[in-house]
Amino acid sequence: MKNLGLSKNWLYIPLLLMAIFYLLPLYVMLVTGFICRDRLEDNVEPATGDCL
Amino acid sequence: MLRDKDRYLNIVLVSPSIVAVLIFIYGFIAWSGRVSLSKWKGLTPDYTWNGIRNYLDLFSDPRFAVDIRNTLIFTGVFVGGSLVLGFLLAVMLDQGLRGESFFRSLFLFPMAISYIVTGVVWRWLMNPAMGSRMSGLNLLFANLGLDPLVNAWHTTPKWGMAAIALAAIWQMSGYTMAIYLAGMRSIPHELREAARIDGASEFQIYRRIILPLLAPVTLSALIILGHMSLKVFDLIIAIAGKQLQLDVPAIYMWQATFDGLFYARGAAIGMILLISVAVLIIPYLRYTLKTDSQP
Repeated sequence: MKNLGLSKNWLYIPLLLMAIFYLLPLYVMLVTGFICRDRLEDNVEPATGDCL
Repeated sequence: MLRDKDRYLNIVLVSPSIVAVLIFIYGFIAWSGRVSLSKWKGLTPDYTWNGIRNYLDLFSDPRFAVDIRNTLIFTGVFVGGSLVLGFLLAVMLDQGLRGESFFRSLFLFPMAISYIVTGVVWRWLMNPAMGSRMSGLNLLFANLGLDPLVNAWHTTPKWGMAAIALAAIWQMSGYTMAIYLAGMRSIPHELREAARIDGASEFQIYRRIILPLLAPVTLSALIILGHMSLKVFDLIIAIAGKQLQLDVPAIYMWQATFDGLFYARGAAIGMILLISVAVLIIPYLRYTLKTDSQP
């Protein structure tokens, strides 16, 4: 990367942005396990259980 | 050299698998081919000869034309996106950064998830609802002040398939990254050093040396991703259900066969899918076998 006039550390910016792209659905997957379906989808009856 | 007794034993041991493959794969393909040339409609089998009528009907069917268009859009966005993103990620990880193994595992992780799970999560993320019911990525964009990015995702007319392809890119670009990275690591370091001594920039090294040497990797990725996109079914069902706007041949095949009981038409769609995948796979297999057999 020296010939481009860039330090290797700059590469962490796009890598971290990409990490967010990959982590966001994984985070949603984890969090939605604790959320009622009626908060996620329109056509579902309101839940009465213990979900958040 | 194997003795005759060993050779006989080998054939006996392998023959159950060969018989199973012949019956359950090639036998059923042949049976589907026969059904596609029949008039079978309804629960009772009807093998009355119908020639290529079912195929001609399909190619004059407006729904099948929509399916072909959707498949082409999905294939273009998915294969192109996965290849470009995978290559860029591999280039970044090839620089010997600290934490490379963490990023590599993170990018590869979605591949371990089924298409159905990916589809359900991305359906929530790409919720097209607006106003007070806005959620997922649209809500994130709105809160970040990125209002131009708020959109209807897979419910967008014509280009909704591109949104579906985004979920597929998320899942498979890590795989492309892994095979590109493996390819880059197998290129002798001396080639880069020689190019640097000759005054080549890093961009020129990747453009003129690394990328051409990675052509077989690109071909492999192209074939694997291409045949996956031709068969796509579960991801679309999980994100959008059965919608004509997002219809593909596999969904049409399912509906024709099991919802409508048009077995002959379903079999014809299946045979068209098989032929389109074979057109991709067979030349690749021949190329691979040829290069493997070279000393």
